[in-house]
Amino acid sequence: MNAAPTYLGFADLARDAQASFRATMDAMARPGTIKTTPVPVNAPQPLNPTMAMLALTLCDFDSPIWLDDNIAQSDAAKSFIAFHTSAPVTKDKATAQFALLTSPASIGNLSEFAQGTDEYPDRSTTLIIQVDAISNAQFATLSGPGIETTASLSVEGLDETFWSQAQRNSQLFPRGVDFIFVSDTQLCCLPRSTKINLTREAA
Amino acid sequence: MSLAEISTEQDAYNFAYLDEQTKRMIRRAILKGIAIPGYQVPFAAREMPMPYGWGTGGVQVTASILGPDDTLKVIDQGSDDTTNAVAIRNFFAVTSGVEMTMKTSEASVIQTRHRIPEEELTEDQTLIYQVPIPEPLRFLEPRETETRKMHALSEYGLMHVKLYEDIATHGHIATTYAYPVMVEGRYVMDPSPTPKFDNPKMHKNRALQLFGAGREKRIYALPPFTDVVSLDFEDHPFQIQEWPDTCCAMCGAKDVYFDEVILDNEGSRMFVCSDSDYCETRQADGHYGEMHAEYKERIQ
Ligand SMILES: [Zn+2]
Repeated sequence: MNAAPTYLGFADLARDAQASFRATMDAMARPGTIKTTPVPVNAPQPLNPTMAMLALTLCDFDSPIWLDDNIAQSDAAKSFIAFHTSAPVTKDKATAQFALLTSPASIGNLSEFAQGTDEYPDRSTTLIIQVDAISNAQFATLSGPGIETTASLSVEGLDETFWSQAQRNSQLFPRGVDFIFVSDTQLCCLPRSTKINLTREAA
Repeated sequence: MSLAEISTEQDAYNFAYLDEQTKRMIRRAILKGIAIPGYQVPFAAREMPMPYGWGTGGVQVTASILGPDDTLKVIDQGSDDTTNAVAIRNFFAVTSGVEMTMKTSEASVIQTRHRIPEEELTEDQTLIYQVPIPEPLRFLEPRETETRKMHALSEYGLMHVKLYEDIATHGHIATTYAYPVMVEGRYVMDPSPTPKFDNPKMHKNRALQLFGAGREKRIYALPPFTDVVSLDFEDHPFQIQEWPDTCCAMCGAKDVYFDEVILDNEGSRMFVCSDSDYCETRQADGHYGEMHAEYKERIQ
């Protein structure tokens, strides 16, 4: 397998993966908190640098991944992921440990992703979704574990359909999926444990 | 195997001993644990160059999150100086080279067995517990298939029956260590063998709390500000251990967890803070208990 020489992945594997994971862990533990991408990874279109960083940090031969059409149709992106992670690609959302999406528009029906079972709620998909921008503007009000009182979150491109699916997702707790939103330079997490109130009508 | 041997066997990439594939697997489990507070995530624990009971689960979690910018503190029974704490500190000093501290306030990562520091933790800290038996229902139901069903249904009647039997026998709930807690009203969780004195500190703690069980291959987590309630009954509310009218003989602290220290063959004794850093910090700040000067002479 060949990767284009400009797409070298992490310069220092152990150190870069640790910095990347630590930011992600802290973000997952504090839903709505926006973290700066610690190690942006140069990757072929349509992968943004934060998505590429997370794929290299979390995915390997042991974690089946589902790719949205934009990624699946890019040989350069697919070979980059294959070269750097060796993660098996699945076409069945229900068997994916991670789903890599270039836009919230490609989520489709959330319930098609693995939701875990009552006995093994961890056997679920984590959706990593590329977005144009993340901010703490007041749109969704978050509460629950990891949040002292409430947190505000606004993610560009998330429509009403998404938010109502996400609300249903958190009602499934402890089953359900978890979300990581990634812009070019930032990331933010929305685990299933977070309760969501929509403070403003979706545009 | 000695620490020197371990360090020379590892190539430069194995920061903190574990290979990258193992870290990824543990990191995935940690993220799931955080997303499902109180749920025990199975993971494929690795053999570590130390026996079970030495905190291999906690060590694997620490090794998977630790980075060169971290400052690590290791506590065992409240002290940084026990054999176990020293061995783990040496392990990470050799395999990761990160900075070590005994001061709670200076640490970004704290690995612990048996205690939660008296000093309040901050949002910039992660507390990692070594857990021998992660399943709080295990001593009531040995079959994993059954305990898993109970957690799935949030069906914890057996646990309440056991606690109530305690009350019937002893007049109070006799459990003082590993006292079970309810997380966010959903999962009953083993707080590890910490004294129940520390249970209230888990509730809405500002730090992220991670739990690793090596032999039983489980990881679980409490994100900051998570609801953690000790199980009890309306007519028998949860109570922490108390030492009425007791002050630390060295630093004068009240309302801390005490160790009883025997001073001589005549049976004289004193109570001191179990959290050695807390006690020393208070002494450095000019707080003294009644045995302070005398104690210093004795150990010279
Ligand atoms: Zn003291």
